[in-house]
Amino acid sequence: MPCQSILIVEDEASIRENLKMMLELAGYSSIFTANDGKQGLETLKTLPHPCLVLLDQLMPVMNGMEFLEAKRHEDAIAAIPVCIVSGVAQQPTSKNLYEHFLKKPIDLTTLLSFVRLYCGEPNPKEAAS
Amino acid sequence: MSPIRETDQFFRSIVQTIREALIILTPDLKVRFANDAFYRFFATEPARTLNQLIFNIGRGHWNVPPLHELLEKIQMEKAELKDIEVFQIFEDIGEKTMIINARRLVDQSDPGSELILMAIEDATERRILERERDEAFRSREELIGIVSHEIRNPLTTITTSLDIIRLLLPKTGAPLQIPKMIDNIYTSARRMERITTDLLDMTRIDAGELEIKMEHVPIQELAEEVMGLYEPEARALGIHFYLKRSPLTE
Repeated sequence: MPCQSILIVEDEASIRENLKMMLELAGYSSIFTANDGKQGLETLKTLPHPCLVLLDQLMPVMNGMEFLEAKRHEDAIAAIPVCIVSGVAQQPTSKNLYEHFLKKPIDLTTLLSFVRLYCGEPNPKEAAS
Repeated sequence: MSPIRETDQFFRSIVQTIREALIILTPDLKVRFANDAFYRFFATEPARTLNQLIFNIGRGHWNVPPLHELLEKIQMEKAELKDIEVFQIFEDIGEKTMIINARRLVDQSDPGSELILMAIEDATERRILERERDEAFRSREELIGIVSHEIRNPLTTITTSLDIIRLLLPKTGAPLQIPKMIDNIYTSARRMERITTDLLDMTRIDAGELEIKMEHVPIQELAEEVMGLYEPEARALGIHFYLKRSPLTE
């Protein structure tokens, strides 16, 4: 089963929209977004075969670390890989809860290499370039 | 005047000039002598101090657990104390940080017995200043951390928007200068990011907490980036900047 649905959990609307657009332009078609950890958790449970979560750290309602803690206790979604995309300089210490840490402002090539790692090569028909 | 008495007076006149509080105790912990600095520190006077048991002087300043224990240790174990820091909040003289040194002396007037000499350095102000300095460092680091985070979000919007424009540009037939302009904006955004990182590093250097990480850097890219930063200014001054590739950097 090809696994290409990606969830972006980010409270800053412009970053959320840009990340979505970048991934779509790169050829990934099934991108979902959430404004905070709580919404992200609810969305993640409903996604068909999610392959990666791009997660901000500082968010209202439920922050990134709270999201990771809650996700860990949900068997159905616990194993979905997470890449933290954060403006916080210090990397979170509980490294077993996430796969990668990307510091903002992110580098597109690095981001796409992580996405490719977990979601496979993008669909060339979808790529805008 | 006997030689012992002469020596005693000589000694007293010296210790009166010392800024550190000094006290000499008999083996049963009665005050034989204290200097002016001691009287000032504990807000007491000779008439209420000399020949008194140390626990009773002032407002029982030495009758508090840390000092009591310290004196017992000196008395029972005949121990010497070196730079023992004691913090105590006294009712009348307030918060005090004392650095205490103590040693035993031969009693000149009774060579068979020993006296206890204690020097009490008032480190209160120094410790308060150190605490205030640490707090100032912490709040500055906290503030810079917050500012750095707050700057990173708009920077992310700028750089990701530029990434999107770069991806879309080939389709638009935009003028040739546009990609160069985009590169300039991108470089400036990355420069701003570095400034925030440098600011954080500077506060860590000040606090002695900077962690230095060794990593491999593509030297060619680094050189091109540095050149890109200074090239416009150099051009304006008529300076030609060029980068020569070496096989070693490939």
